[in-house]
Amino acid sequence: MKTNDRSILLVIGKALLYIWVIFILFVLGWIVLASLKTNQELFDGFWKLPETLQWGNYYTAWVQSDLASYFFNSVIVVTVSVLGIVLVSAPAAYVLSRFKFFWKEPLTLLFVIGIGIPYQAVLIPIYLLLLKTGLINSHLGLIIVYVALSLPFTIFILTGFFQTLPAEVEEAAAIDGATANTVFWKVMLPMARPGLITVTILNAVSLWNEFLLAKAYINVNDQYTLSVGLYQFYQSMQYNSDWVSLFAGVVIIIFPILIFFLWLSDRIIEGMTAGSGK
Amino acid sequence: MNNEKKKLIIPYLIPAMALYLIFFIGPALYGLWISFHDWSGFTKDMDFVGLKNYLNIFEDPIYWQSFKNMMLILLVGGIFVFFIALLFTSLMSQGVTAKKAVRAIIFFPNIIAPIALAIVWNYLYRYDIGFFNSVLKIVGIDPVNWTSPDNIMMSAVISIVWYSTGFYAIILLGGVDKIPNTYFEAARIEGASTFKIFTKVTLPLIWDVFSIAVILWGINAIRLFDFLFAFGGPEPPSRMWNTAMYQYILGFGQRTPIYQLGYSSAVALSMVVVVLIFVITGRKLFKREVYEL
Repeated sequence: MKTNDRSILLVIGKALLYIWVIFILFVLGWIVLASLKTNQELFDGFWKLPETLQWGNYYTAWVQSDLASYFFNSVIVVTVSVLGIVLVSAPAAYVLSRFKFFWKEPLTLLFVIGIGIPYQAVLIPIYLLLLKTGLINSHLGLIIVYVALSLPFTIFILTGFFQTLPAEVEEAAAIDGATANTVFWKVMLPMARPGLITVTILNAVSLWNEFLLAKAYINVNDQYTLSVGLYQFYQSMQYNSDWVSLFAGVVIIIFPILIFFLWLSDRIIEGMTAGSGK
Repeated sequence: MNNEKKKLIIPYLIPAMALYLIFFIGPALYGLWISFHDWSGFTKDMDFVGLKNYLNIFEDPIYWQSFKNMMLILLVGGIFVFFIALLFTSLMSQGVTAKKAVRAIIFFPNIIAPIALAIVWNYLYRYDIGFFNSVLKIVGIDPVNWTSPDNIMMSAVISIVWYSTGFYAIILLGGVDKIPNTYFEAARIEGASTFKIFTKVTLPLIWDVFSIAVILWGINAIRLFDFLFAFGGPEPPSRMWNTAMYQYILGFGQRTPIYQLGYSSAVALSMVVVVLIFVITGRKLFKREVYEL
């Protein structure tokens, strides 16, 4: 009897898992379908299918509601930030993981502390700092903040990676007469590539979706990032209920992540869970 | 270590240190300083008020309401996230059809922009033409007002559980996949049931990963802002604010700005304290003999 009970539990569990999976696919599919309806069809009921696909909704969202400029703002901010994060973190992580010096432990600890500090604790002070330096409402300001706040986690992960690299290659290159600087850029950095890819993915995804800082520090319409632009578009639904274009906007913000995910899902999953698997 | 290599330490560390100190640690300390003042942000002078802002927290019903909501996400949301995540992990570790696809699909909601998720879920919850009420109608149950002030927090937690669970399930699965198959085979030969294998073999061996996942959840749940903020619509009712939202609204205003920078900073620091308490008690609770593979 007991085994029977358990196999029933197993069946229920499996059913729940598959319902979960199907529901996710269903929601994603419904969003795409909703973005291709007319507003009339959308309000006719949840299950109503579009008669003809309204690609014009994408035009409205992309051009008239300016999501195109927000999209490119996001592309620029994310690209520059991620490059900055990697360029600044990699040398620091290298030194912290493979050099021996007095300040090594305290400095490493100082960076680790940052992982646990919620952004709320720095939200207002950074605002004031950006205001003072004239960097408020600018992409440059946002990029600097993104780089600074991403350092703790990125350095933490990269330190772990550099530690796993063999010392022999480093020594061999040094004996061959390469300067320490060359050893880092030409030997160590290429060897750490999996780690660099991991932190690039991790930061790119989270910054693409980032909202709190972008909302707080960018208050000029044409400088919005995509998540803030989409939020403002959503707020405008009270006055102009063009929901189908809003759903087109939702697809626009998800689409690059989806493509990225279909292409690199294993890498992304590994990367995003790497920090906790160790 | 040779001298030439030593020369690299400072130039390699300086960019990261400078950015980190100026744009993270410095502001965090300045925030602590602001929290001892009364300040609207408009005047030049901050009034030093000592611990007044912290004492005010204790008498602020909105704060405790927001604290309750933060805890609701952290604890109630957390229980569901990990219950479902463990269930999925145990099922997937025994092999399910199309395991890789299942893994990818349940993970995906976690990397969708929270603003997009908030828009979609708000629509699924709509009273008139939303998904849930349309299903209830088919089954013949009266529609539920999912986003009424009474229900909105519960609905938000359901959505948060939905988009978070996959991520934690996959962290746990990563731990399970590292366990050599022979362990399971041995247990099965001994006649252990699926449930027993999970509690006696799998769970003890992934305890380390599990504890890290719980701490990660704690940090994420305490600071959760964007989804809830957008989910609340144009003017989120104060009953659904969590502490992160309250902190933002105190500092940056909603429609009608309030601008209480000192108090807002004190509220933010209370969140740091909650994170600290969670991490420390979490580590204590989870501390036990770790089985090395």
